[in-house]
Amino acid sequence: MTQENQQNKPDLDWQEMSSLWQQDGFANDLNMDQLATSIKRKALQMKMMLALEWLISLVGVIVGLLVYLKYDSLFETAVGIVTIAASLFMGWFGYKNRRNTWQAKDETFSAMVDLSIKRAKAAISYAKMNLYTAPMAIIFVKLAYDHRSKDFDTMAPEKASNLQMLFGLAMVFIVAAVIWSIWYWVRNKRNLNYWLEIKGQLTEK
Amino acid sequence: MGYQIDQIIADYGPLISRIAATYEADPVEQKDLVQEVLLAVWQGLSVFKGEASLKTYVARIAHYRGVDHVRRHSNKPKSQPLDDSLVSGAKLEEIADKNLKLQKLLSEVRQLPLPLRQVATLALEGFEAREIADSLGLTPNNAAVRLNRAKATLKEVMSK
Repeated sequence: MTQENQQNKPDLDWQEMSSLWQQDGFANDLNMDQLATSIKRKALQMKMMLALEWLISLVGVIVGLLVYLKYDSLFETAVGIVTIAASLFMGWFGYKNRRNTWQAKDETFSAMVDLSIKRAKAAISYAKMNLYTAPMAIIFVKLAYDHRSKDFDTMAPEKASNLQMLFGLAMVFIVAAVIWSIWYWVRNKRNLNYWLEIKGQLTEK
Repeated sequence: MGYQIDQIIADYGPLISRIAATYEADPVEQKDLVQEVLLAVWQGLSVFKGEASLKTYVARIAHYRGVDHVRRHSNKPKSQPLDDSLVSGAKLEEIADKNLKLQKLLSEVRQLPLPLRQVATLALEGFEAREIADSLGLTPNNAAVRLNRAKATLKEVMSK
C-alpha cells in the first residue's frame, strides 16, 4: 500500500473511539431540569449579591455626603470625602470583579488564559497598593485621633472613651485589611504561577 | 440573543459534561463544574458575537472553566484510578465491555498533557481541525500537529 493510500484510508480506529466517546456515558446522570433550576438560582444569587454591594455603596455615599455637607471643619470634610471615595470604589470594584464571572468573553482559549494572567497581575498590584497605603492610613488615623482627642479630653471626658473606641476600630479595620491583602497577594501569586504554567504548556512545541 | 438555558442544556449538556469529565474525576465535583460552565455560557451569551458557532464557543468556555477548576482544586487529585471512576457500587464483571472501553478512553484522555487533551477532546466530539484551531486559538498547522500526536498516543494506549 502506498503512502498516499494509507493517508486516504478512513481513520476507523479514531471513528470508533469518537462514537464511543459520544455515547453520553458521562452525561447520563445529568438531571437537566434540576440543572436549569440550579443555574437560574445561582444567577439570581449573584445578581442579588451585586445589588447588596451597590446598596451598601450607596448608603456609604449618602453618609459621606451628609458628613461633608453638615460639618465645616477640615477633619469632617476629609472624612466625608474619604467615605464617598471608598464607597464608590467598593461599588466599582464589586461590579468589575463580578463582571468577569458573569461574562465569559467571546475569545479563544489562549486569549482567556492571557486574560487570567492579566487579572492575576492586576490583583497582585491591588494587594500591593493596599499594603503600601496601610502605613499612611495608620498615620492618618493616629493624627486624626490626636487632633480630636485634644478637644474631648478636657471638655467632654465621657466622649473621649467613645472616640478612643472609634479610632481603635479603625485601626483594627486597617490591620484586617493588611492581613487580607497579604492573603490576597499570596493567593493571586499562586494563580499567576498556575496560569503562566498553563501558558507555557500551550506554547510548548 | 434568544437562547434559553433549557435549550443550551439540552443541546450542549452532554458535550460539556464530557469535557468536564476530562478535568475532574469526582462525579460530584464534575456536576459542579458542569453547572459552572453552563452558568458561564449562559451569562456570556450577551457578549457572544456569533463569529464562531455556538458549539465552538461552548467548548472553549468548558475548557477554560475546566482548567480554572483544576487551579481551584489543585490540592485534590486530578484523576482517579480506573476502578474508582467506574459507576459506584457496580461490580467490574457486570459492566459492559463498551462501558469499560469508554472508561478506559476517558482515563487515557485525562492522562494526556493539557495541549493534547484539549485537542483530543474536541476531535472526539467531532470538531473539525479548523474549529479546533478557532476554539483554542491555535494556527491550523499547530492544531493538526497536536491532533496527530494526540491520536497516535490514544490509539497506542487503547490498543494495549
